[in-house]
Amino acid sequence: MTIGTFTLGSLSPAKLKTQGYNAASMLFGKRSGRDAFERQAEKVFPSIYGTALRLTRSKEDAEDLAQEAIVRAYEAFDRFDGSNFKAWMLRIVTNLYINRYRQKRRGPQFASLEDENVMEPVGDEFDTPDRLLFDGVLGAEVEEALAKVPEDFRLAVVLSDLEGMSYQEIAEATDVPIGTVRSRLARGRAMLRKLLMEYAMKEGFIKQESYE
Amino acid sequence: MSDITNIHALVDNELDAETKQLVEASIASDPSARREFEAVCALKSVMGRVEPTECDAVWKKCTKRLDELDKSRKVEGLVTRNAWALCAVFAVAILGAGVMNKMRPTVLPAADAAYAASSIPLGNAEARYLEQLPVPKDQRVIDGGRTEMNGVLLERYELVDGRGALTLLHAVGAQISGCSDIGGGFQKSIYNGRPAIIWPDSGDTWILISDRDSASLIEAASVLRERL
Repeated sequence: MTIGTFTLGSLSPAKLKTQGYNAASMLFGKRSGRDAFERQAEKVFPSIYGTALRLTRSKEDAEDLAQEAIVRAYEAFDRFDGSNFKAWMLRIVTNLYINRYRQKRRGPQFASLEDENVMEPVGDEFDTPDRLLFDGVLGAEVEEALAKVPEDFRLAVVLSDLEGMSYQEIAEATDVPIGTVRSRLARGRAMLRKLLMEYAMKEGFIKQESYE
Repeated sequence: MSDITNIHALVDNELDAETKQLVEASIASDPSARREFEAVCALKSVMGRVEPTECDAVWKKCTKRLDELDKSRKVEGLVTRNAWALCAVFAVAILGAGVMNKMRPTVLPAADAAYAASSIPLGNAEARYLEQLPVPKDQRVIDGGRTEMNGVLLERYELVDGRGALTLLHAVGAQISGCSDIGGGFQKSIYNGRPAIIWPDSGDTWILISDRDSASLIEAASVLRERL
């Protein structure tokens, strides 16, 4: 059944919702399109800004990046297919970051692909499981450790573990094959784990001789 | 041990059913695989402690940017929707200005007219134009020339009558500035030290220049004006 340009049978509820917003925009003017966009964007904005901050590691750059992403998304909203707004926005943020802000790189960029210690399986140096070792670790410490992870691995960890994106979505956002996403995620998590272990050791959660 | 990335993918629920079964079996039988699995789960749990970032102020700035974008889109939309009308308005304005310009007579400064009176080269006017000039019987056209100056066509005729030489200048479609009105439809001026009588005629201007006195010059001009 076709109504206007929409064929109901082939659209998911999410798509219908977005197409409905787009139709409302056509029928009732730009304001309803703006309202629809703003409602969705405001919900996911903490993820947008948070990701921008974790990528740029600068509040000023993160603010610019987030604003630019919102503007780009608003301009392209009529082309959004209605599937996953958050993933779509995060893809925009990531692309913008890769295309623009990488010129101002800060801190660790790439870990060596031949880093032998990174992809080693977890050893049995501690009797205590990680979940208990990390008991005293707060969110702020995780952020601090995350900032030290090289950029490409950090991005994979942020998009997967903080923003809940699928491997396919991360691959599209970062324009790499899924195999590379898997590899970067595993390496990024391993580096993060190592950094949190060092923190735990520093704080006395782990005895030094046990770690060595 | 199973490929480490498969263990991570299991935690992330990214494995197909078959691979998932194999990895789960590996975890059940291999202590190092199980440690890896537990480490990944623990790490993901720790990641859950990261607080959402405070961003209200930044969001407000974003909405302001969107407001500015909407405003500029409105203007663009207005221009786009009314592009043809705006083009028509501009076209009419330009045409109107052109017509107004055409209707307004060209004014040639007196200095240019004086320069033309002595500098238009003679001999380049066709004989028939000279013959057609309706001078009185006691006058004769000796020579003539024409030129264009500041967009104005100028014709120079050298005449002679019983009293001597006269220079007649014809400014086509132009008025001459810097003249004094002397009544009777005539104006006077001095061109290159010689008295000149000027009169308008249907958008053109005629100038008669000679060394003779004003009264004689006005008399000659009156006769010419009758005939031209």
